[in-house]
Amino acid sequence: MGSLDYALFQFVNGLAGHCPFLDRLAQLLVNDYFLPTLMSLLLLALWFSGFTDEERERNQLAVLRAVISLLLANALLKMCNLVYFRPRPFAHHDVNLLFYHPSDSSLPSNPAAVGFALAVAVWLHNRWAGNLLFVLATLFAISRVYCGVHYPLDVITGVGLGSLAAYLVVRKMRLLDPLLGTVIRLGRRVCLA
Amino acid sequence: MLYFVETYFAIHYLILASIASLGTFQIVATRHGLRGLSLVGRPRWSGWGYGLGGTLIAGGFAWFFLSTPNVLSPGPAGTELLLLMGLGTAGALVFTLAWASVCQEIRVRRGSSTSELDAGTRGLSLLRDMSILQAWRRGGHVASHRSGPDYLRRAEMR
Repeated sequence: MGSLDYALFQFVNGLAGHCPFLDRLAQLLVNDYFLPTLMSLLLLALWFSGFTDEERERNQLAVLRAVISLLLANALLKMCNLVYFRPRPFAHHDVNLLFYHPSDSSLPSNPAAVGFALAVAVWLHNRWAGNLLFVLATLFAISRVYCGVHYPLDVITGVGLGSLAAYLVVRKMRLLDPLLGTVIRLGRRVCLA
Repeated sequence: MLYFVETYFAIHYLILASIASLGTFQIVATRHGLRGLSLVGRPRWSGWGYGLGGTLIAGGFAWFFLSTPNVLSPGPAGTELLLLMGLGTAGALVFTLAWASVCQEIRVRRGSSTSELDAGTRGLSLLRDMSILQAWRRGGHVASHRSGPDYLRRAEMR
C-alpha cells in the first residue's frame, strides 16, 4: 500500500517542474487563499440563491450544514493527528516542492477533508452547487500532491473523513434542525434569509 | 488564538474578502432580481450586474495576488482567515444594503419606483422590489419572524 502510494505520488509530483505554466497554475490552486475563498463565496451566493422560498431555505440549510460539516471534519482531523503522525513527503524523499514546508501531519489531508466536507454537504441539498464545489475541492486536493506536500493516500483519507463528516451532519444529526431553523428564522426576521 | 502573522497580509485578505463578496452579491442580485442587494438597481440589461460582479471578483483576486508578496509562505491560520472572511463579507453586505437603500430612496422620491409584491411576501423575497430599509419600515420582518422555515417543517413531516 505504501509503495503504491509513493509510486502514485512520484508520478503526479514528477509532472511538476517541467511546464512553468502548469506550475504557476498549481501554485495558484494550492495556496491557502484562492480556492478556500472561492468556496466561501460560493456558499455566500448559495445563501441568497433560490427562486422560491422553499428552494432558498433548502440552500440556506445546505450552507449551515456545510459549515457544521467543516467544523466536524476539522475536529475529526485533529483527533487523527493526536494519535497518528505521518511526515510530509519532502521530509524523507526528493520532491519537486512548489509550496512552503507545512509542519503538521501529512495524513489526513486537511484541505481535502475541508473541501469535501463542504462539497458533500452542499451536494446532498443542491446538485449543481455541490458539483461545482466537488470540482474546486478536487483541484485543491490534486494540487497538493502535484506541489509535493501530500501523498495520494493523505488526500484519499481526507476525502473520506470530510465526506463522513458531511454525511453525519446532513443525514444523522437531525437534532440540530431546530437550531438551524432558528438561525434561518432570525435571518428572515431581518430580511436576510 | 489569533496572531495574524503579518498585519499587511491580514489587511490585504480583508480587502479581498470585501471586494469579492461585493461582486458575489451583484451576481446573486442580478440572477434573482434582488434590487435591495444590488449596487445598480435593476438594470435593463442584466449583463451590467454580471459584468460588475465578475469584474469585482476577478479584480479582487488579481489585486490580492499581484500586490501581496509571499503568498506561498505560511500566512494567517484557518480560523484567522475565517474571521477575516466573515468581517469582509459583513462589511460588504452593510455597504451594499446601505447603497441600495439610498438609491431606492432617490427612486421613490422621483416617483420612478413601484412595488409589485403581494402581502404574503416575506424575508429576503422583499428585497426583490424594495430596499432593506423599506422592508423594515413595512414590518415584513415581524410577520416573517412568526412563520418558521417551510422546507424544514415539510422535511420533518416526511
